[in-house]
Amino acid sequence: MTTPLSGAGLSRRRFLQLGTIGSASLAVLGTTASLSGCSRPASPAAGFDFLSADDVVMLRALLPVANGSAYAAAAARNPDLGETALQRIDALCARMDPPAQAELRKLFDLLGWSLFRRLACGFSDGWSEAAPATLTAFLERWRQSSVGLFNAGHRGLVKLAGAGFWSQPATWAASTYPGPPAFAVSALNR
Amino acid sequence: MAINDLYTDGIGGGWNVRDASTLTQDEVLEADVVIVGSGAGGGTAAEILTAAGLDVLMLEEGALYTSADFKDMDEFRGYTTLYQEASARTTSDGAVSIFQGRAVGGTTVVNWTTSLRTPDNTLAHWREVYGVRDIESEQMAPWFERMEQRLGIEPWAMAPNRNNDLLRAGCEKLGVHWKVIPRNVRGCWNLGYCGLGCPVNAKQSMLVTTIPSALGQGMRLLHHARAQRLQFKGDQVSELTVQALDAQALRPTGVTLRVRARHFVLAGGAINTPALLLRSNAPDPRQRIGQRTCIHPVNGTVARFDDAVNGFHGAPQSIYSDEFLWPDSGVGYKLEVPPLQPMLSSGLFGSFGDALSRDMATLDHAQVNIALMRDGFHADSSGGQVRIDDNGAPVLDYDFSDYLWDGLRRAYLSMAEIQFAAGARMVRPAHLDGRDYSSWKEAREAIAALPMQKQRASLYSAHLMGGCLMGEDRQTAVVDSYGRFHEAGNLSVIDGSVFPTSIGANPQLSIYAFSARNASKLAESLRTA
Ligand SMILES: Cc1cc2nc3c(=O)[nH]c(=O)nc-3n(C[C@H](O)[C@H](O)[C@H](O)COP(=O)(O)OP(=O)(O)OC[C@H]3O[C@@H](n4cnc5c(N)ncnc54)[C@H](O)[C@@H]3O)c2cc1C
Ligand code: SF4
Repeated sequence: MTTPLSGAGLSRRRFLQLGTIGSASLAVLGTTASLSGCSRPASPAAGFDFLSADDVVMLRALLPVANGSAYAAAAARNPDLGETALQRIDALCARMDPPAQAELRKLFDLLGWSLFRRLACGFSDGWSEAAPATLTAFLERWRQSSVGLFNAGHRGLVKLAGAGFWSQPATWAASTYPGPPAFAVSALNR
Repeated sequence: MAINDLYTDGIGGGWNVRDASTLTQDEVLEADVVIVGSGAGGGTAAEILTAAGLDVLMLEEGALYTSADFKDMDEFRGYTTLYQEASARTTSDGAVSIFQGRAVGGTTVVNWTTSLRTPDNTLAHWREVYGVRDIESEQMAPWFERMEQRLGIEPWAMAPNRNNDLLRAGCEKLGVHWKVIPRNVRGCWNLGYCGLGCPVNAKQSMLVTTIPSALGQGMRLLHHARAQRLQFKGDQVSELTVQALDAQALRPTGVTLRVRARHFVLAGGAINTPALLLRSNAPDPRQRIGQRTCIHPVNGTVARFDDAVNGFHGAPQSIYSDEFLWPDSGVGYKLEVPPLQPMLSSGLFGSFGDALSRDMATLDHAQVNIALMRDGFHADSSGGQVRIDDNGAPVLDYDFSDYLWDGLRRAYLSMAEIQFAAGARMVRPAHLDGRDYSSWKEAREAIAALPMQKQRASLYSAHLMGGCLMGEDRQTAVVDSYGRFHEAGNLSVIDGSVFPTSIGANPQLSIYAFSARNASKLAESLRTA
């Protein structure tokens, strides 16, 4: 149940509808995004099946912020943890059906656009420059928003980051999970 | 202790199992019956049709994994290889997470083994409102009995794990109904990893029961093979086009198979079966295909107990409560618990950042109740709708009426009250606005004020039902009372998509019993034809 919400629901059409919910700037933004070709298909970064180079930068910045103090502690002991999390998120996205992938693509593309970040996320720094407090404030803003689409975006990002992180045995200590019962592991893998 | 790997032995002994990803050339295949999908419906039908002497070909879009692949009991491996869309499937707006299996054995490979009969009230509703015939309780009882015996279904005789036992304790304290769950297991090790594939072949899924039995009697199984399109000619299906998928079971390899059969059985589950029919432009004069898809919408509450609960271990579901299932007014719901391994649990808390780290740091003390809404029984709850996108991929739209929101709110209340009665230190609804409440009084007031909205409430479904309704009335039904497609003679639907409403109980035993009944009838008609 923690696996990511695929469609964050941010279709361009829904974005235009946001205008009627109260934020005219968002409607303009949706149109501009489409006119400026912002939803051009992004090509996957080297070593990835779905995530683009920009997505990777964004998720690398969000992983510690979405998962909190357990992340830094686990990452300090396991240098590969962050890259494994990215690979796992990529594997999840790559296995979604095309309709869900299309929604996710739109969300990621919009998040990669600084004008969108300034208007909708409350910051315009690049993902790799933004301070953790800034990113926390962004996640909190989308969580508290009265606009369902932002709530959906929040959930999608937090769930992807959570699935990439908490699925790793390196985090078991932080989740009090002893792993599968030792007797069964040894009996079955003998 | 080595667990006997049925498939290595079986294939060595001559079973006809092929992996379509390895094919390099187009082929034409023929059979008496082709079955699309290998889950609860497809597996049950396969055993019966093969035993009747028919030449059966089973197609499955997912891969073949066996107990040997499940030994690691690893969440990430399980969720990404055994589920539709790597378990990331959702409703079209992302508001409800949808869990469905995708492998040889279908969702039965990953289900939690709860095995309950269709409630009599539900059968009566289907007779009265949908005109389904021959489903009196006495007529259905032999089919339930038959499948209970086939799959070793018995009330769980071991002690429930503490996650389940606290549901029992809370109900007991409040004097409300609870009962021990019957499970389809033989020699269960009580491990708790049913959702990731049973590593010891104890779960009596289709993977280890009906499919091996059918293969032993000559059925052919082709996996990594996606049914793409049925060809309709007059009032018959003339051919099925199948795409071979790559080793990852994701993308078509370009190899196409054409399958001809006397009869076509669709068993792809309650999203993919209607989608296949829609993709095929199946005759549908009243636009019924994909309508009334019910999902047993699920919400939950997370409690913290002073003593460890360790909900990640032990049979995942062994206790349920039907106290709230058939209320005088409003939607009813069933109460159960989920398994609590970390990847699955991390999304339940509704928190992020340091708060999530804190929540996860006491996962061993968490106890979670879930409520399954009995959707589809009321004018204000008519389920969702499966449609296809421009490329034919399935999409599920599902909306929540005030009637459903009212039920979800009452369910948060029932679950929290039971948790406090069981001794919880605090309880939090799985909802973006949920907080840790430290008393039932505080929880009651806060839950009464929770905004009941999509995207704020955490909602799930693991039970997909409907979309190809059965019934005699062609105005409303896609298939007849035995699963035969109304608009074509040689096509049947034998899976969860035939149900006119949700079940009001976990669906697998309903699917087994109806599939056994309908496949037996089909075998008879094909033998005499
Ligand atoms: C995590 C989880 C826990 C559950 N726990 C329980 C439980 O405890 N008790 C209970 O009663 N129920 C439970 N269920 C639900 C139950 O298992 C399902 O309702 C049931 O298996 C559905 O049966 P089906 O025949 O309709 O489809 P499925 O079992 O889903 O089988 C459909 C199969 O068809 C394949 N397929 C689909 N489309 C195509 C195509 N075009 N070409 C080829 N193949 C295709 C799919 O890959 C899949 O393998 C659970 C479900 C989940 C996800
Ligand atoms: S609890 Fe039993 S049935 Fe489930 S995975 Fe463990 S051994 Fe298999």
